[in-house]
Amino acid sequence: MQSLVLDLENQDIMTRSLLIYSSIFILVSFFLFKGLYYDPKKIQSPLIGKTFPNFELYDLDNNILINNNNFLSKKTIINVWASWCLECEREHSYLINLSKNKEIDLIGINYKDNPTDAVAWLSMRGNPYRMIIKDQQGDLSLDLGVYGVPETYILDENQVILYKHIGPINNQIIQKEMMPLLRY
Amino acid sequence: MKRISLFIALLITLNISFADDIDKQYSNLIEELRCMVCQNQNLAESEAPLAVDMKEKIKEMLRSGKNEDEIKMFLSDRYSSYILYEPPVNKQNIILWFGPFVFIILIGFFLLKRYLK
Repeated sequence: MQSLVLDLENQDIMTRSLLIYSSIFILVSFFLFKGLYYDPKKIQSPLIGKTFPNFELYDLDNNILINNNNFLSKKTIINVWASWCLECEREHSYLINLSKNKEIDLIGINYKDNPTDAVAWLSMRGNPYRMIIKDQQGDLSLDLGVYGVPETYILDENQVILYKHIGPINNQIIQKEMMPLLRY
Repeated sequence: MKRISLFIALLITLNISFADDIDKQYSNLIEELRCMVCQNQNLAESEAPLAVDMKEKIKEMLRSGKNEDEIKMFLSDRYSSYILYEPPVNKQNIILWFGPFVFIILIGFFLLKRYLK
């Protein structure tokens, strides 16, 4: 009789601990599973909503000093690129297409590049940019929170950063994410 | 003459301690900041181009008299608080900061209850 009572008690403890352990297991797996699809680079840039940093750098084409006053009061796309960057080649045709839109100003930041290579690269593939900021030291890019090339930003008419994309842009990104911000 | 040499000696020691201070702050900082383009490396361990640039920038800022907090602020304003290995307490991570302590207290409470029984 006594052993039966003990057995029942044991079973009770066992089901209870099973419940506790399995719920902990499920909870942990839930967070681990979520972590699988979590890309820390997709954290929204803290610069969104802030004004484009002040700079004074040379222009790639004419070697004249340019600064924030050389921006137009239009919606502006800033594209960070380099001639040594393979991914930049993939997005280049999209930039050429975007440059046909006269309502948008397209400015390039040439990131840590050899100017001769950069000019040659553009003359082969076409130059979509109205103006190219030569950032050979990467100072402006560091100020902008750039990870690497290519990266694309959208500014409003007052140089406030609205959007940032890391990596090459494509049709889907342009249509779904960028175009809505580029309309007036 | 004696006075001048004393003065020079003072200058040299001051200069050394100043440089020492910067070096110490520099190595502290690069240990505590994440290399943004690597998987789980800090700036000290990384030779990635972006990490090298950041280290240059940190050196430059220290030399121009900025302190550690100002530099951390500068970088996290641009690269988000993900760059800090010790992120500030905020709404999103409050559970991570205090959850373990709550958990330990709860477990201690249950164990004590069981023990007293």
